[in-house]
Amino acid sequence: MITDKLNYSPLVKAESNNALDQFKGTLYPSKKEEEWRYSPLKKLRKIPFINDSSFVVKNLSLLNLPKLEGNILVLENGRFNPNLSFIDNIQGLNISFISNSKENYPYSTNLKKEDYFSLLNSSYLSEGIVIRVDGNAKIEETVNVLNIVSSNNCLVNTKIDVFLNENSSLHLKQYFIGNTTSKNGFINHLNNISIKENASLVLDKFQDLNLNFNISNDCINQGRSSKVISNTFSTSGLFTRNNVTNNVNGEHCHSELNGVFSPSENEYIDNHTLINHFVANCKSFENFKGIVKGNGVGVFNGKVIVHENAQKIEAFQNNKNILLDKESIIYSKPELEIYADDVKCSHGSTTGQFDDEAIFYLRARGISLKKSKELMILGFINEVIKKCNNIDYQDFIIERLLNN
Amino acid sequence: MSYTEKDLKEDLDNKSYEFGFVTDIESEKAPVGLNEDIVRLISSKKNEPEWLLNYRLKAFEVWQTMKEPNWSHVEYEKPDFQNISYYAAPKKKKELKSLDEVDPELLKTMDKLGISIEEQKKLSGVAVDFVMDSVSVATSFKEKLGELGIIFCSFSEAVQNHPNLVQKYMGTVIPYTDNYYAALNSAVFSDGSFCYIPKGVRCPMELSTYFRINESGTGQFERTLLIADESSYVSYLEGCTAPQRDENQLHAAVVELISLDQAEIKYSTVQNWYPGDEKGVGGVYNFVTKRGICGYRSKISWTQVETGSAVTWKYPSCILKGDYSVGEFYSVAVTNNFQQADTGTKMIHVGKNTKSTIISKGISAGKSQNSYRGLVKIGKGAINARNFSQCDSLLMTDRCGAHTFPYIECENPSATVEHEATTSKIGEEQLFYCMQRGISEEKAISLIVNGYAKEVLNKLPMEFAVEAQKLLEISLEGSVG
Repeated sequence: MITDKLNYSPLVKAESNNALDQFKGTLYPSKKEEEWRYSPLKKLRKIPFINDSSFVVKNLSLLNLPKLEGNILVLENGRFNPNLSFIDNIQGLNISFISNSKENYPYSTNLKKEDYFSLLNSSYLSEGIVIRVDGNAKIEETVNVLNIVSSNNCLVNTKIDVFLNENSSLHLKQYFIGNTTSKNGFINHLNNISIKENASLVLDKFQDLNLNFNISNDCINQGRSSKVISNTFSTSGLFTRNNVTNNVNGEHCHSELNGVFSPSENEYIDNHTLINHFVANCKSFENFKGIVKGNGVGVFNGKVIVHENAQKIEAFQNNKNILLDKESIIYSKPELEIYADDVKCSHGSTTGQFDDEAIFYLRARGISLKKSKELMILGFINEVIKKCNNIDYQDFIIERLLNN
Repeated sequence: MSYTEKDLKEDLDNKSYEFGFVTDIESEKAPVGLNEDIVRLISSKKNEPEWLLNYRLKAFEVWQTMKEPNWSHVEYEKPDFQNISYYAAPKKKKELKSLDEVDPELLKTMDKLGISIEEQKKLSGVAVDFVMDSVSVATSFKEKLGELGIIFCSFSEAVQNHPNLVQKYMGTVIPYTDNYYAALNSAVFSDGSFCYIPKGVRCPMELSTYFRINESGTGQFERTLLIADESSYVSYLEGCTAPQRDENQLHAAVVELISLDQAEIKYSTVQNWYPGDEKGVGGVYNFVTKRGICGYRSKISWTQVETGSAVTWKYPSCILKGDYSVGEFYSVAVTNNFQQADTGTKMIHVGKNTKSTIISKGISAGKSQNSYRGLVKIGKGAINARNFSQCDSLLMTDRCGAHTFPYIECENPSATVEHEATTSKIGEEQLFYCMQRGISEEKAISLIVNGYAKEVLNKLPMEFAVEAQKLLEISLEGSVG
């Protein structure tokens, strides 16, 4: 079992929540469940995870990340690493840690109660960060949160609570890094995001786990006229899974979920998204691109639910995939559930390989095969990459996606 | 056979379910309930060989260990399998040579359905295997088909006369372990149709069969086996009507198609079983397993118009095993009032250069729920496989639902798979345009809906296309307020 060798978290105050009780009553998911039918769950289950909060990474430059600007918060093996972090005082931005807090943090998530991994997270929480943005505060500087696993078999349960008050804005960049020297580490992360009226959030996620695992549950709640743009870039990981639940609770919201994932040899990358349109007059966009190499497995499962009375919804869902090698596998499941009639919803999914003629065109112009393929991939993912405003970050992502 | 505007007007005036009548024929029923003895009873009643009895018993054993599936997007009261009579056959079971010997009540029923055998015999060239509660009563054009070596008869007749064919192919596409309802059907199936087209024969007429659930409280467990031998062609039609009943009736059929090398099967269905009344009381449960397997360069084409049944759970599928084989699925599913449909297809690409096309049009009205659920699986060896899927949904009211659940599983890089879906309501501008030109709202809606479904309706054989168009209009009457 995953939890056999784990200690309960001191952060979890038994009397204040019942996560632990619930967790004990929850079974490890099986492939027979619709939500998990494509996941290689056995990979995870066999590993006896441990608690290990040692610091291994001496310097951030060793991680080959782009230049980080703004606040830098580093969680290594589930513990805040002050040596690598940099916290600047910015007006309107409050950052605190659950481990320092006197308050009880009752576990609160709108995720499905029976979800094994979010309950595991709440029951064995190692550290949590709370980011609050005051009303009317537009935070120009990016907040970077690095979540690193650098010890073998280490299970990291972390959590970020983000509260954006009215008319505020924030740009949050998350990095999930599996150190190249570590093996079978597991970051089980939970994002709990609440966006109030007229607030806007840009959330960039970068996942490079190497030989480690990552499950990331995002729960986003949007208030009236708010905006959220989430870009997820997953370049490697033995088992990387993103579950995004976006509840649109107010009218005139804009929700955008984008992503590029590129599993290669022995890797599995899965994007599960759910957009709940509870109210009318909202727009949502989803665009996910998959590039699968070797015997990698890519999964996209997007779901849009337009609930009763949520009229005038526009929802678009798009998933395109390229399979590069003989053994590559893609599972795509774009779903629509619609209970209102005055809506415009569509989804599309395509899977294929490089267009031979296009490759020939490039090669006829003296471009090497490798370079031609790179150009083709670049063209394929450009639509999503350009959603990030920062050129350095764009270059970094492209470099990682191509060279992985 | 011509269908005039006057006929349409009459149909439109008749708003309620038009085929809701019960034919009053004495029939023989098995005791209510299900156990091994019932399975044995059915088998012995039909004078079946031992291998078939064993097949049934094995299926029953497997069925007992299975659980009813609940992954589909429908909600209904689970049928009580111990409260169903598993066998009902009209008592008069004499061999019939001419129409005079047929029960006049039955003839009347056929007249109402618009498929009177006399007319069929004289005019249309459609051979009808009329299934009245599980046992075939009259079959026409048998001799003409017999000249070509085509076998078209009831399933139990085939078991008696062509046991080798039945034994060779039965259960090869849908084994009894496949799913809950297929297992149930394999254990207790009553009758159905059997068809065999010999090598190189092009069946000169559309073969058709009408199913009908007649006896109150009788679940109907039909089994159809259709074999198209090498280089043959057949077009098969299936139409369904059922009388008005308060309790829910269960229908769990199994249809197996086998298309051998270079053969082609076209299978069309119009299904308008009783959907329940405006309050959602009654209606038929339709849990059907339909699947076909394609050999080298062969083709299977499913076309369906689904307007009836309270709950539908149906996925006509193609296993594209042979290289260069082709699978097609064209569907119009209409749900109104409290109907629920979870329907779609599975295209399983195994062979090289296989192709499949899926066109699905869903129309939901009233408070109904209409789901498309389709699987496209490209296996490892399916080099250059090609799939195109399109599923559109049309919403008529703000209380109905339209859902799309496509599963795309691609394990070969040389495959090209495309899926697109849209959901929208009838354009107000389109309606306005029609109404401005003096077309009534109802008529305008039916015009737009027919245009929307045309792509699929065009694929139906002529006889069915007219009926299907009529059905669409009747099913959607009064659905826009």
